[in-house]
Amino acid sequence: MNEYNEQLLNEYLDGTLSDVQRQEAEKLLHDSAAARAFLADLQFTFAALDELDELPLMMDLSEPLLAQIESPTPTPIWARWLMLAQFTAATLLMIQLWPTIQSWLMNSRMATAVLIAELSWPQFSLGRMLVEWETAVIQPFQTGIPSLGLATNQWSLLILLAFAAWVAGNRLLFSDEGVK
Amino acid sequence: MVEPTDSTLIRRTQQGDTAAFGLLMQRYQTAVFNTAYRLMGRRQDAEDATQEAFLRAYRALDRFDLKRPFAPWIKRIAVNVCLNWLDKAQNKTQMTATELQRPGDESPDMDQWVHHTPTPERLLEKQDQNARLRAGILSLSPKFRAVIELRHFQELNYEEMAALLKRPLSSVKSDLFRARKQLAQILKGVI
Repeated sequence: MNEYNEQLLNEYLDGTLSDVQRQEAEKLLHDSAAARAFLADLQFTFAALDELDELPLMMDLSEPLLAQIESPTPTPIWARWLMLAQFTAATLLMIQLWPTIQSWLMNSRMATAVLIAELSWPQFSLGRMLVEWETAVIQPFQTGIPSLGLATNQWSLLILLAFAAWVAGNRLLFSDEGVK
Repeated sequence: MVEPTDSTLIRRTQQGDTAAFGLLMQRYQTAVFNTAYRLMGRRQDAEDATQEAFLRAYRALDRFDLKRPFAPWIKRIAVNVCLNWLDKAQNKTQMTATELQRPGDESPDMDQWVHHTPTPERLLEKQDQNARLRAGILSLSPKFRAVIELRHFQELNYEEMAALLKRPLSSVKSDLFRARKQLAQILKGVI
């Protein structure tokens, strides 16, 4: 018997044949002893699979699993290194951007001082206190902080690496596929 | 006392009650273990796969649709776990019938058979047939084991099997036919 007929009988047992194919299979079974023998073997196999007993479990697997679920997951070493990389990248960026931030802060402080003067706030105004506080905080940093002095392409690479570290770190640390 | 339904246990797990998940696991761990055992062939590997399947289920439970039955879902997770591990192991789990007869892998207690089998001869025949069938299933390639498992033990139709295995319908039909033919020959003693 050829493979086409065998496959036909296989699907006949599954009940997935069209009406035309089912009639073809039934004619084959009527005419061929080999087809009937093949079908009988398949039916025996189906029955054996249906009757296959379950093996028992030798231990309760739920206890160790629940213990694993309930215990806090320690932070893996690679995650700690990643956090360090993120912090380093952020620090390098901050150092490189500091001159720009400084100049922005100075300009905004001057603008605030002018605004307060123009509004003629009282002697012990909150505004004056804020300006004095801002000066006290910023002044120590106005003396030069060493800049990295990077070339444009190095600067671009640094930004790219810092951004990649930040995105990768957040994606891994705050998603289900990450530290958990 | 009425036992809680699967939906109740799942809802309680979603609310943070891990003991409810423990009950759910105890309810289905044997069935999932047998699914894994038919695919992996070793008791230890099957136990590991069972735990991994339930761990993945626990993590995905917040997205589980309560209208669906839990048993088919967890079994499919187990099938995926086993197939992934088999892909990585690359046929390391092929076992001979002799290895299957190691202590700890025997059939259930004889007492369980007494109520269902009238004669000792029939009992021995059935045990022998089951042993040959298990050995036969494990002698199949992983993709043939998968289609036998999904069709005969999880009762998926061809389309569902093709979707789960991410393979064309014609390939799944062909694999199932060849797997059944091979098992039939093993049971007849031809192979």
